[in-house]
Amino acid sequence: MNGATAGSSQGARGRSVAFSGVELRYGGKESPPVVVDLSLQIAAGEFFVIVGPSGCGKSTLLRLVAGFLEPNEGTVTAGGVAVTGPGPDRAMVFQSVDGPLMDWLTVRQNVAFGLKMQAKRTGQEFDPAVVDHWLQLVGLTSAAGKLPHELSGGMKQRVQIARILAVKPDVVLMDEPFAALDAQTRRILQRQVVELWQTEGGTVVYVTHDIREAVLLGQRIGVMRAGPHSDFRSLHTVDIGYPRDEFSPEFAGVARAVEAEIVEEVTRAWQN
Amino acid sequence: MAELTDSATGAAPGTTPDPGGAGRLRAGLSGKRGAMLISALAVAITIVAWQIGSWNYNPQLLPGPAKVARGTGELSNSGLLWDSIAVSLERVFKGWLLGSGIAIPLGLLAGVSRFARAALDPFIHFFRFVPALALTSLFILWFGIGETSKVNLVAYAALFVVLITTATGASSVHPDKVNSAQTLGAGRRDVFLRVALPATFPSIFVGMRLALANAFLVIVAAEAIAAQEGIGFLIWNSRTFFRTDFMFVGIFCFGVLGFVCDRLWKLLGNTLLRRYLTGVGSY
Ligand SMILES: Nc1ncnc2c1ncn2[C@@H]1O[C@H](COP(=O)(O)OP(=O)(O)OP(=O)(O)O)[C@@H](O)[C@H]1O
Ligand SMILES: [Mg+2]
Repeated sequence: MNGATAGSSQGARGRSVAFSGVELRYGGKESPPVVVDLSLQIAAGEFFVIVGPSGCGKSTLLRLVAGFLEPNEGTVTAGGVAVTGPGPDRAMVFQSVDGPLMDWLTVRQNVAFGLKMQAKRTGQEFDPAVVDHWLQLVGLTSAAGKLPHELSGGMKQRVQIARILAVKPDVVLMDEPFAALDAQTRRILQRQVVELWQTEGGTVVYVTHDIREAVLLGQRIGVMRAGPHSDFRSLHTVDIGYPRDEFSPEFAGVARAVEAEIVEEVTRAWQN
Repeated sequence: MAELTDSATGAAPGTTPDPGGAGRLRAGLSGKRGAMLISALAVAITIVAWQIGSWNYNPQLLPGPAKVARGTGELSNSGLLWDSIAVSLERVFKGWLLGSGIAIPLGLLAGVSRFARAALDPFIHFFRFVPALALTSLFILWFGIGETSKVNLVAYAALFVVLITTATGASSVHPDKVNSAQTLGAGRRDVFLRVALPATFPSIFVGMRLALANAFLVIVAAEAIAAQEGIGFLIWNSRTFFRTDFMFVGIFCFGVLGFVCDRLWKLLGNTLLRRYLTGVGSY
């Protein structure tokens, strides 16, 4: 039962995220919109998971919240304030393993990057102890001096997570962060993400195409329709406490329901 | 735990099984030292063949290695060789650095700003096809017969390679890098200085390496006209005195200096700039 409230019990941090009547097209007027009239409310401190067929617009939604994209119609707000561009209150863990890290900075320096920017902005002293703390939390203390090209894929994703969470963003956006990793590493990192969210608080919007992962992590799961002209088809509340047992009947029940909807949408996507 | 052994030979790990004479030779030639040995051997054979070949020709047309070596000694003793090298190297470096110094900021600008790119593009793609050699006479008219015209000519030759590689590098910085920096709180200035610039270093590095070769190419032309010293001048001037051996000395100077400069540049890349160049190949 406490699953549904675990995040909000830390309610000190986290901001609500809202889409209202959002339409987005990448090209000009002629190109079909990716999403149309999409509305969604994500509560402050919530762990929200987005699933849907490939190409339906999941990443697009995250980019809208991050402020990398602007909607053609409607508004995207974070904490009730319209999103106008990228900012450190909404941080993103990218799907790409090699793209987002600074290749010329060590693991330590990568994690310190956001903290240094923060120190600059607030005029406070940069505290290297915070970097140490996060390196330890994601198990990278012994790799602190390494450059990204010397790391495995799972280690790189942990660097991404550490450097994002270290700046304590109100909203954490995660775009299939573990899709490229092996099953064992993924399992460990999934557990870690839930633990970090429980201790650190914050709102998480998590995109995945893995239904098991969705049910393992999310307080709510939003299923998107096949694109273009996509929006949310349904929202599922997962009322199971963390850590979740994926072999329990409740887990299987939710997973089955979500799976059935996705299969329907994928089939539709293929027919389009 | 049982000792692991090589299943084929039964040898313990770490000990190389003796493959016999031929095998040992092949193994010896496969490593880095082996490659150096092959290179040295190839050079030695070429020199011997050259010496033998030269006996069949008029030494004023094809001086043999022995004669070239004596010529080198002569030029070295008179100090002319070292003065020529110093003068030419100075021109190459000044021009190369000047050209790169202009090209890097412009290339970065063209890479990150659409506006700057649109403004610079016509000029880049026009002058790119105007060879430095075509400008030699013009530069002498404009900048006189002194150092300025030569350095500027080298700078011109270096400029466009560096400009284009830098612009290409700066415009192809992974968007996730820029986005992730923004999401971590970096403003425009920090994104430029801490992300776009270091991410472009590999392109700048490669561009400057190519430009260095261009600089050597052009210095010969620059020193052909209105120069009183330098390796290029040495080569041109030797013709007047039929000192073909001196020409060969000049040619060797370019080859050796170019090679050494290129290696030094690579060394810089492997040491000081190493962390910025993890994506650059090793050739
Ligand atoms: N930069 C872009 N320019 C043009 N079209 C784009 C761009 N990015 C995405 N699209 C289109 O928008 C649609 C949604 O893309 P998006 O990346 O959001 O999908 P997704 O749901 O994240 O898919 P996946 O599960 O494969 O990652 C797709 O049809 C895609 O072709
Ligand atoms: Mg995606």
